[in-house]
Amino acid sequence: MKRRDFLKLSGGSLTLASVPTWARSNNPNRRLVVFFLEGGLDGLSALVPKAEGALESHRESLLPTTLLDLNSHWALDPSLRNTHKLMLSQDILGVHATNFPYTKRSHFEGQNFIQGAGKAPFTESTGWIGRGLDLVNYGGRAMSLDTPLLLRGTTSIDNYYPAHVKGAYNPSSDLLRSIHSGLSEQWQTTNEKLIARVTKNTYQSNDRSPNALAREAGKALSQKDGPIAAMIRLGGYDTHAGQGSRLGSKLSELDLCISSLKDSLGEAWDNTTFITLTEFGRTVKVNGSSGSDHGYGTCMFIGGGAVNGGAVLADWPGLAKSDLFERRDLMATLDSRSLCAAALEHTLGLEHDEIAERVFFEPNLKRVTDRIYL
Amino acid sequence: MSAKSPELNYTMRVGLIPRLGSPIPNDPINWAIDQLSYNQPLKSPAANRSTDPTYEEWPANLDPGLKERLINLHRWDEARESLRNKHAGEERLLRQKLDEAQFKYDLRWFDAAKFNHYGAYGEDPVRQRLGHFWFNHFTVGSYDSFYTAGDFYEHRILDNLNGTFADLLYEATTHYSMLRYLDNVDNVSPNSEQGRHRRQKGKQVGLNDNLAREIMELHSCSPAQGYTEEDIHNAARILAGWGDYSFNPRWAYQDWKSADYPYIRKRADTGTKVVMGKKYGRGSSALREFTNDLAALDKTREYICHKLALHFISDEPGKRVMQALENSWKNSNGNLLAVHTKLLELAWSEGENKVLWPSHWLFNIVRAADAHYFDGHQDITSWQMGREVVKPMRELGNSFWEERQPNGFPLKSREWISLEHLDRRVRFAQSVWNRAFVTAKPKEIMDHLQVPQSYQSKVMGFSQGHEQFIAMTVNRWMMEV
Repeated sequence: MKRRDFLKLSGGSLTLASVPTWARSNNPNRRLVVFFLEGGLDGLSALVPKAEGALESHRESLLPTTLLDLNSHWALDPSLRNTHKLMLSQDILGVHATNFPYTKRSHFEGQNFIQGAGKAPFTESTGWIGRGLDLVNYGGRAMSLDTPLLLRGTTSIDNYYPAHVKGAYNPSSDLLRSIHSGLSEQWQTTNEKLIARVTKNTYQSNDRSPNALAREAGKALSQKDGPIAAMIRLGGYDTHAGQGSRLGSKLSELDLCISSLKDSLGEAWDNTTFITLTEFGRTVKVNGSSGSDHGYGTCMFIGGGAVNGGAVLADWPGLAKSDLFERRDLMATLDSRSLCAAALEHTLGLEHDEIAERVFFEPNLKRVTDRIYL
Repeated sequence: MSAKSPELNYTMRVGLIPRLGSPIPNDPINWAIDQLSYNQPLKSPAANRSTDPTYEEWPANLDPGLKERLINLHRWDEARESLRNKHAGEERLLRQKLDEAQFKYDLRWFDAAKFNHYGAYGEDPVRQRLGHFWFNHFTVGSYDSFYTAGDFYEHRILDNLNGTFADLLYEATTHYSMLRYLDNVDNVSPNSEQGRHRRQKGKQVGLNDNLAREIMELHSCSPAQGYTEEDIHNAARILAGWGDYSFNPRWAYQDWKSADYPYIRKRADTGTKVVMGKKYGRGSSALREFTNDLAALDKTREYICHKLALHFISDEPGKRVMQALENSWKNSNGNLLAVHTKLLELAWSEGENKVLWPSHWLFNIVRAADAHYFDGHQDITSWQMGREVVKPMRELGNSFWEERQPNGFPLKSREWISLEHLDRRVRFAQSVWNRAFVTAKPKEIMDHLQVPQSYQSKVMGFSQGHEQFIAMTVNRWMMEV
């Protein structure tokens, strides 16, 4: 496979951001969903460069026996059936050999860096979506027990994650108001949000599987006054051993989430972008326990009705030893921040330069929006 | 609302509130330091079915030692295979039989229940809090690692709280739960006897660097040390051979010294390894040498002291705190008894606002009400019943028996504040009131918690008992220190 191929094909926890008080978007109905794949997705297994000659010699035992073909160069892991259909219907774009500019292979630095998007890990107390929402003064909602860094900004973030507590019922707003004065300021701010949610009584579902959270996200995002952004966390991608079946089941879970999100969004799918993020890719060569270790470049999926899908976007670096990062990992030739910036630009209606400077602190960040959207 | 007394606040900062009926210590620093040498067995209700239960020691057979646990793990593996063959196609019956068999061989629910009882009834709450810190520092968080996680907590963490950090690092690294969780059971050197044999047979063989990476990044010096990928690779070579899948009592030929230190020479690397400029030879002693060297690094001292200060003192520990803590480490060569003692002293004079972990908040409200909320060992009569044990802490996002990432629970307050976390506090206060055999009068509890009279009047204004309990436990003085 050659470099600079832009190939047109022939063919769990959730976080949301809510109603704008003042919007700059040219279309206030646009929405953004992030699937955060914790552990480091092996991009070469999910989106397989099947025409790459070196693939078999590096990792024959990691290759699935069957693949879902996209074209003569690319194929998907067989667990990604819905994704495959949506790629063929041009609703999903694959991106390969990409990552944030982080090369140290630590999960925790990597996850922090990709959400905080500062100059280095652990330098930011807000996330890139949170900062984007701040620029348009949107509030946020996290559909998880905690509030992930990605969504944190100065504007208000709340959460949703169904409770399963024996011997307890939904608290009443009267009770919550009554305990308000006993709380410290930081909890009072939170209590106000809880009171607002209890008063609205918006959510009924008891199911908190990733798939259910994706469905709930879709339902909430599709509301006119619904949230603007959502994050769903899916764990288990750290496949050091026995990668084949483990990764297959994780990709099935992602695939189901994508499908459920689309179904529950209904027509709002046309105004929604989803992206997958992960802290790093994995070693090109299989390790001693039929798995792969921490690496660098990986793949992303970007989908939604407005996405110019049906293709794999890659400045493909190759898999020869000399092409690899530190002679072991897939090189990342495309800065994932550009893709995230494009998603923000489209969703929030902000100028790329403003996003580059004020969200990613990188004025020279390349603009790729026109390649991502129709 | 006025602040609670410094003494009560301190018990919550470094320990847990004394159970209702026991006094708040008036010499809290010594109260805390004395607990470092506490060595009495836990006594708590065998069953959680009474308002006035008898406190008993936990049966010895629930702490059978690592070797026995690993033999049982092997028996469970065998039973599972046999049942799957015997009941193929009978899904419901198979599930039932598997649950029965696993219940016989796997102690995880008893371990989790004992952990809860340590929190709810333990007379050594400071020691337990330090135990929680280190159990979190050395996170084991996969389904397989939970077979032996209770042994890991009791005998590698709690038993080593007063030794050196070097001891603790080595003991934690070489336990089955850690070797399993971070995949070192799959770490086989290509130049080992087994590696060569497998290669000749055309099988996949090689190193697995997961534990090697985390022992440096998370457990000792942190990335601030500036080690390279080559260093990690060589650390993985040192670790190759440590760990195995199962312990078959019938396999007499295995060459590990004991189940406690499962070193398998035929998987080990036979060459010399160089990590951060230091050479390590072959053999099992290289790991001890390596963990000693890691423990002695300046960056290890800085990183560990900072984590301790973050958890017990402040979200932004100042220079004075860090210097005092690090000096105690330096002067004692990393002796944890000395470091913990200094930490407990500093926590009295230097402590700043912290949000407690939700598990500690739950333990505190149970203790403050003299409530019996957590299942005892006699309550766990089946695998299904056992599953219930871990649910409260899971629901609070703070369960040590839940699958999680190796960096453990966050230490900064900000990570524990969210709408859902507040919702859970309200629900659990209600749940404790409704389910935990609370017989104490609200006023008794509030006096124990030193709730100001003005707020007590407000609490008594609620007509329902559970509302009163929520008001007295979901507030700044119970959630923060």
